[in-house]
Formats: sequence, structure tokens, C-alpha cells
Amino acid sequence: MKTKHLLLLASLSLALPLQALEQTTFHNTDKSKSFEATLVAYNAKTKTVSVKLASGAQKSFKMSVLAQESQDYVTVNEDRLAIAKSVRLKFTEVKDKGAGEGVSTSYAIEVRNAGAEAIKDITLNYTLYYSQGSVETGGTLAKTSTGTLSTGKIYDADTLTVSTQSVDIVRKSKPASGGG
Amino acid sequence: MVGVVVDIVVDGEVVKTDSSNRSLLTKVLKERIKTASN
Repeated sequence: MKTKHLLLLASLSLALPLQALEQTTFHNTDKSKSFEATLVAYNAKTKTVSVKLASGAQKSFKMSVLAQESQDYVTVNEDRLAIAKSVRLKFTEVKDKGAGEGVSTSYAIEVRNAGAEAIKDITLNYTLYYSQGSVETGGTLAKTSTGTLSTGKIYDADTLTVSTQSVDIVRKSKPASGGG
Repeated sequence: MVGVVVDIVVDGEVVKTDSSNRSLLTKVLKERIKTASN
């Protein structure tokens, strides 16, 4: 059981950033046949659907061979799939040492649309993970801070940068007490 | 050190997750799997 979870974890940790959709059942036009696969691409110009089978093999076929409900599934997920494949993120840590004890830290997130089509809008839900030092106790405390960013329209082959909120990292520890 | 994990959301669905730090991403995904399996 533990091995199964570890395999699932290994699979997801690699797959999640790359694979937007889960496996689903596709049916042919008269629903006499079906198969399990993950939708990986749809070419609207050629109306060609590409899927990845459970075996790992990738297959492509015309949209017209699918039942209407399977075609609807492809259509509904077309945008999500395109965005997942097109959007690339690049992170730059930004630090600002102010006058006080804290170091104000944020991230500049570069969002690149590597696709051939413009993206209307995406939302970025982010969580900052950090350890905040305490001047009073000298220790550190693990903290998180969440936020939401919206990109607006991103043209094809275009890049824009959004910034997270800042968090203060206090680096100075309490001086050792006592001694002579 | 500060790390960030970002979920790219389209029409309310997370379509991709990325992070400034690969080990942080693995840790967060592990926690999500643990939460989902409970």
C-alpha cells in the first residue's frame, strides 16, 4: 500500500506541472467501443484529437470518430489544455532590505505564453512558504502567505510579469544573554 | 529562504502547478495527495 502511494506521488509530482487533465473514458460514435485515455492535445484546424493511453502510448484520430459526449469533453477542455501546455512560469526572488530588522521578500513571476494563440486571462493562486525569524526569541517560525493574481490577456509569444505580495523575513536573532 | 507555489487556474480548475523550488513543489503535492486520500 505504501509502495502504491509512493508510486502515485512520484507520478503526480512529475506529471502535475505538465499534465492538465485526468484520464477519462472516450466512446466511439455508436458507443459500441470505449477506451480509457488522457486528452493531451486537440488541433482545431485539422480536428484531430491526441490522447495518451494508460499504457503510455499516444494516439491521434479525427474528432468525428468520437461520440457527441466525448466530443463535448474535448471541446470543453480545449482551452485548459492549450493554456496548460502554453504557459511557462519563471520565478525571481526580490529582496528589499529596509531600514528596520526585516528583509522584505516577494517573487516576480514571469508568465510566458509560448503558444501560437492569445490567452484571454488566467488566474494565479500562489502560496509563499517562508521561515520568519524573531528578534525577541531568536528562533524561526514556518509561515505561509497566500494571494491571487490575474494576468489579463496574454498575446501569443508574449511575456508579462506579475508580483506577489511581500513578506518580512527578520534575520537578526536575539543576542546571547549572560556571559561575562 | 522564501519559496512560492503557484496554481494556474482556468475557469475555476487548476490546470498546472509550478514552483520556484522543485523540492517544495514535491512536498506540497505530497501534502495534497495525503489530504485527498483522507
